Amino acid sequence: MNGNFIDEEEVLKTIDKLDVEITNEKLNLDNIITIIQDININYKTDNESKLSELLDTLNNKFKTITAIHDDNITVLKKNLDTYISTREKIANMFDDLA
Amino acid sequence: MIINIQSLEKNSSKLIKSIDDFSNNISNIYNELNWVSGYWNDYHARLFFTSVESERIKINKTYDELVLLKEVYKYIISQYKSIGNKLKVNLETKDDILNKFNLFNDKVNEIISLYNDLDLSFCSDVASKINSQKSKLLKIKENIISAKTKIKSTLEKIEEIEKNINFKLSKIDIEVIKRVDINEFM
Repeated sequence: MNGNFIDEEEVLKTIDKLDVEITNEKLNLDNIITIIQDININYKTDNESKLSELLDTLNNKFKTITAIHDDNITVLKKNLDTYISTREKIANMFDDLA
Repeated sequence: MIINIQSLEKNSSKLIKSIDDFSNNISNIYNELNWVSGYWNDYHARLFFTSVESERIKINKTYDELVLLKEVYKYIISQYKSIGNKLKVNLETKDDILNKFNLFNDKVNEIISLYNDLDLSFCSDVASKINSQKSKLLKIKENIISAKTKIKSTLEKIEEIEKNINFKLSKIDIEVIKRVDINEFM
């Protein structure tokens, strides 16, 4: 790759695809936690506290993963917005010159 | 302790599917991000996609952690399935339970020894009845010993399973990941 560029159309397509994937994943991550909670209800032993501790850590990790993926979309959206806004400013400058 | 094997088995199948879905989702997200790196190229993009790559490696480890957890549940199910569908036992009372069997056995031994001390030579007409009672008692003794052996072995098996589960759980270390400051990419 040489030079600086953003292909607006492709970046937008990716943002849309990521939105769908991340929405699915959010559901999936919540689902994993719910299933593990259901499993632990049916396993009440001295090891229960260790399992519960692992579940809490996992739940927090899932929250961070979801936030990271939201951050990635934010980065793409903001850079695209900046690029579009700069492109429009330059176009307006040429219009003003004309 | 209370364990419901049937419910564990049902939810474990759901967990296996969800872990696979998680893996596919993560893979789709990072393939998409990798693909768009060809359509955005500037200083911020280079910083961003370098960070995304290291993030992908860290998040992928979550799958391995989930698989380890899944293996523990698989172990719980496979081991307890051979014992029963629903288990409710207090392992702390193991010694008390076994002692009760011992006390009962001692009592039976005492009675058998009383039977043995009887001189039946002068009452041959009731001797066969008494000997029959003694035989029944010896059979009860056998049953007590057999029941105690089975219960002892089951309780020891449960203790061993729980010890192994504890060991397996101690090997699972869920790595904490952190968000990076996204302002440097914008």
